[in-house]
Formats: sequence, C-alpha cells, structure tokens
Amino acid sequence: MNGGSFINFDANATYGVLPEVAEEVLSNHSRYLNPSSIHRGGQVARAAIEDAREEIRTLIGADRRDRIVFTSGATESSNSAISSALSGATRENNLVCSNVEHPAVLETCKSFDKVECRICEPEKLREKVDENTRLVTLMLANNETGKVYKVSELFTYVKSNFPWIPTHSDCVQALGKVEINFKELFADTISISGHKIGAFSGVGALIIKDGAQFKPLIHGGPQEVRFRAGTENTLGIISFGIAARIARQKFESRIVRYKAMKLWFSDKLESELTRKQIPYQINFKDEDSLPNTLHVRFPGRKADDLLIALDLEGVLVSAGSACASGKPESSHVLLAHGFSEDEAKECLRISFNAETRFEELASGLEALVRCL
Amino acid sequence: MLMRVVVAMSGGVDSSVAALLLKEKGVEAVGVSMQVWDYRNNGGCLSRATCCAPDDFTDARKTASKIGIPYYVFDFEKTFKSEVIDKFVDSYNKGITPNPCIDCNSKVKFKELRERARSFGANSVATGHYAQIKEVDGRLRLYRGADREKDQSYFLYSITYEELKETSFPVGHLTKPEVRKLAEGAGLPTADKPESQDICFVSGKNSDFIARIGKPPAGYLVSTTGERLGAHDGIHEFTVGQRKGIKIGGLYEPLYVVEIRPESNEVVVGTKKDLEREKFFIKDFAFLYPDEDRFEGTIQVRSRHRGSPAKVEIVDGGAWVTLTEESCVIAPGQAAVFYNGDELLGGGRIGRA
Repeated sequence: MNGGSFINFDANATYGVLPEVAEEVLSNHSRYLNPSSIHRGGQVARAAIEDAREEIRTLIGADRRDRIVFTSGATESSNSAISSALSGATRENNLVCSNVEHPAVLETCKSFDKVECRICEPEKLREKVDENTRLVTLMLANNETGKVYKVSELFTYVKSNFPWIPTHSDCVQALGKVEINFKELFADTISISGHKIGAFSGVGALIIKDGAQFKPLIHGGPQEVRFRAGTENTLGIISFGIAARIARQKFESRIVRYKAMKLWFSDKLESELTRKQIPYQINFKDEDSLPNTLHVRFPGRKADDLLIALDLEGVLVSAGSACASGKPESSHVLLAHGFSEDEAKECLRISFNAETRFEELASGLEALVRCL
Repeated sequence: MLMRVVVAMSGGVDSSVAALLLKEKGVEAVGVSMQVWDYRNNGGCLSRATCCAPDDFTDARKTASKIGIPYYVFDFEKTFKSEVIDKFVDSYNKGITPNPCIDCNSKVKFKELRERARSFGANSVATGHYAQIKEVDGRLRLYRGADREKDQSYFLYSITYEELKETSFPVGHLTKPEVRKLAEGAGLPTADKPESQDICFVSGKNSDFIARIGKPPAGYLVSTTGERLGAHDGIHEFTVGQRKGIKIGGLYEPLYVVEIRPESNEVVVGTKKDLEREKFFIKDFAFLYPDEDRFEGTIQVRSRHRGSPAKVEIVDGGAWVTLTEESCVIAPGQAAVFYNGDELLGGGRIGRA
C-alpha cells in the first residue's frame, strides 16, 4: 500500500492529527502523570488539562460557569447527555429527535424503549414538542451532507415555550467549520470531538450549561468534578486543547480557504463533467452547508466502487459515513432527504481539511474525473 | 501499466497466500472479502470458525495489512441469497443434493465479483482455489490442483473460457503444507488457522438450517418395492446416498437413501447396489472447449470421488455418461465433472434417474 502519500478528501471522517499537536504532545508526554495525584507529577497534568478546558471554552463561546466535561469521544458525550435527560422518564414521556442525526444520537434515542421516540425532519421538530417531551435534539451540521441546521431557532422556541425541556445538539461536524456560540444556541448540552479538528481520536467533550440538570453516565472516582469518572485521557485532552487553540486562531482564514477550495473544486468539476458529458448532480448546493463539504451524486455509478477506484489512485473520499464493519449500507440521512436506496448509493462525500493544498485539489479532481 | 488483480480473501490460509504470492510477483493486488450472509440476523454464532463469518474478515484484514495491500468488504448478500441460499433450500425440498459452493463460484465469485472488480480497473480475479490454469497448445486449460488431496477444480467446472482468461489461482501449483509454510514464513496471521469444512452459511446441521426457513412435512421411509419401513421428520434430513440417520435396524446389509420423492414425502431406502448406475444423464452441461461432442476420460461425481473411466456424449440439453469399467453411486443434483487426465473439460448436474 502506498501508505502516507494520499490526498485526504475525507476530513469529515477524521481531520488528521495536526503536526503542531503531535509535536507539542509527544515532546512533553513523559511529564504528565495521573492528574488526580497530589504530587507535582499530578499537578503538571492537572494544569495541562485545565489549560485545554479553557481553550475549548473559548472556541465554543461557553460561559465561565458552563461545564466542559472531557469524555472518550462525542458518542459518549451524546450518550451521557441523552441518558441524563431521560433518567426517570416514564411511558407518558417522549423525546424529539431529527431523522438526520448521527447514530451516536439516533441509536441512543431509540435505545430508550420506554419513551416514545418522535423522529422527524429537522424542519418539523417543533411541531412534535409538547409538555411531555423530555429531550429535544438536533445536530448543528450533518456529517454526510454538510447541511447546517437552525438549532438556535428551534431551541429558542423550545426554551420560550417549555423552558424545562432539555435541549441537546451534536456539534461534532460543525466544530471549527462554522461558528459555534454556546450562549446563543440555547442548548443545555452539546457534544464535540477532538479528532474532527486535528486532535487525537479517543477524546471528546460534553458541554453542560450552567444550572442544567445532569446525571452522570459513568460512575467511579471523582474525576471531572464527578461528572465523568475514570482517569483522564491526559495526552488526548492536551491534544484537544491545542487543536482547539489552532482552530480558534485560524478560524477566519480557514473559512476563507474552505470556501475558495469548495468553489474552485465544484466549478472545475462541473465544467469538466459537462465537457465530458458525464451525468452528475451536486447536492445541497444552494443550501446552508459546511464550507468544506461537497456532496455529489453520479447517476448510474456506484459510489462504493468509485471510492475504491479513487483510493487506489491515492485519493480518499467517503460514500456515506465511515462504518466499522466495512460493510456499506444505504445512508439513513440520504433516505431521510428523499433519495431512493439506489440514488443514495450513488453519492460521494468530498470533505477537505484546511491543510489541503491547491495542487492536491487539482490532482484529486483529475483522479476523480479519470475514474468516472 | 501495473496489472490490477482482485484477490478474494476468505480469511483462510489459502487465499491469504494467494494474495501474498500476487504481491510478491509485483502485481497490484486488491484484497476483497465478500459479505454474503448476515450472521447476526440468521441465528448464526458469531464465534464459529468457518469461512465468511465476521471474525474471518478481521483475519483477512490483518493479512492484507501484513502483506501491504488494500482491502475492502463487498456486500453480496442479495445475490448470494437468490443464487446460493434459495437454491440450497429448494434442492433439499425437492430431494436433490445441493451444490452451494459451485453456485457461489459461478454466480458470485466469478460473476458479480468480477463485474465489481472491473469498475475500479481490476481486470482479473484471483482466488485461493487448488486448481491450475496453464496455456497448452495455444489455449488456456484448467487442471486439477497439484495437491491431489486438496484439489478443488471439481467446484470450478462451470467456469467459462472468457472467465478463465481473467482468473488466476496463485496457490494451485502448491501443496497445502507448502502453502502453510509460505504463510508461516511471511508471518501471516492465518498461517495456522484450521481448515473450514462445512458450508459457510450453515452453523450446525444443514437440516436445522432448512427447518428454520420452512420445514417440509414428516413422511415415511419406504423400500424400493414400496413397503413402509418407518417414519421420518421431513425429507430435508436426507440426501441421496446418505447412510446415517436412517432409523431402521435388524437388517443384514447397511441401508442407504436411494431416492427422495418430494411429491409424496417418501424417502426410499435400499442397498448400495440400488444406488449404482452405469449410465446417467447430466444437465446444465458446461464445457470449456465446445468443439467435440464425444469424449473419453474420467468422470468425478462427488467432491471426494477419485473418478471413474467414462464416455460422454453431448446431446441437446445435456450429456449422457456411460461408465466403462465400474458402476458409480450417484445422486441427482450432484455435480459430475469430466476430466482428461488432470485436465478439466466440463461438467454438469446429475439428473433424476
């Protein structure tokens, strides 16, 4: 395998560890002992974790009193938030969840079989909320389509009509790509993940609004102010902090870069495909979407095969979201958007990271056109 | 341009070494496992060690990574269900011996896999079968594997000449111990993996698998003269030639299933002699070089049969086989494969007597 030399057009799956992150963490790794230890070895680790916490707080615009709880990843964050909101819920209760959620949210919601699960299009969520609702959840940006949803609008409605209902948002894909202002989101909890912005994988965070009720999912020691037991993933958390700092410092320039890349790529792709008379359809083009994500359908062409052809050319893309078993299934997100099973299997997701160079963009595009 | 070859990896040692040998030859090998059956939703046990179970994908993935080739899983559940499983179940319900491995080779491995391989520029499919393809007198020929004990050419008889051109069997010239040694030498994780013996999608008995899908009714065991000898729980528990599981005692000679009558749910039992034939008809005849209509050679009527001398005459809709030296125990539905020496010429399915 030509390991190493490939073009990452699959940044929504994992951004890739930023060199600055790897360098800073690995050069200091031996200094960090157990952050719960009272001695100085522990104090160094504790201080580094607190620094990381502040970086993340700043990045998402959380208040000083909001809780930033480090977890093993956004899946754990969402599981914690959802099970906390539903603790004590009875058969009369319901939860309201969009049909385009990531499995981390969707499957968790479905697992509470005692509670009525009201799943529908993001636009119709507010109609489903009533006084028996125990949770409203909507993602800020979708991992597959890149679509950005009006979370703030929905949650404002919920909070002004049913102030007691907990609101949760999966902000994993939005982090670093659209501005997140925790205060203005009116979410009680949000989930974010480190590896989507260039940190190591295996670290995430759950942000809990000051004053929101929270019941921990994982019990044990007093770590994370008793919100999440278990020895902290110190190196992971530090990496998350550094990546968050970079994401904040470079935010504006990255957005400009993303937009330029997406515009150049889609324009060039359209003209090439039109010239070669290859049928295509750029999805969600005029909708509010992530600046780094391009969603294209090639009618008559199986995206799984195209993915392999591109992989063998050294270009990494995705057809649907990453799946651990490797067995491809039709995306529930695309089906929710009205694509047929067959159409859903013809869709390719191209997602850049901010480090993608223009030469890579050009040769990736060339490879794509060649494989079609 | 580098030749791109898809190698079907089951997670066993043979296909692992096939991939290894391709890579060593400088071919651009692409490892592929075929998801053919959803074990989770079909009462399968996830931990069992046969081919195509999820653990085998892990082994195949580890092997591909060790060798340094890309690896993907293809979903062939739909084709496998219609072309292999449904036929398997249908055969049992009709009292015909099923051949799922042959159906899988012809409809899945050498058809759908090949089509998908083409879509990303791979124009050849390699498998870990013990069989050999050689060019002799200007044409490609299919031979038995060099390891006569492991030879799997029998399961490949329906391959077409066009398919042969785009196929390779990288371990066909080796013996099993040699294959294991190569795997060991390269440190492949599958080097000491046990053989898979059973049908890949069946965990336990075939009859239990059929019963889960739809159990045929109970019926009688009868003699060749029509006399009722006992009862049975359904014809799916029997195949022609079977000796075990016939619950009738007190007879001198061992009893065999000699015929299954699905219309009356009768299982006819008799002696070995009642199973033997000197002449029989084979249908769905596939032949690699259709330029002659009479041959002499060896016919093999079961995967473990050593072969018997025979004459074959191709007629409309099939071929007549006449055994020249000895009679053979045959079962309808079973593949009969025709060889000249070690060269495979063609084959078909044995028709009802």
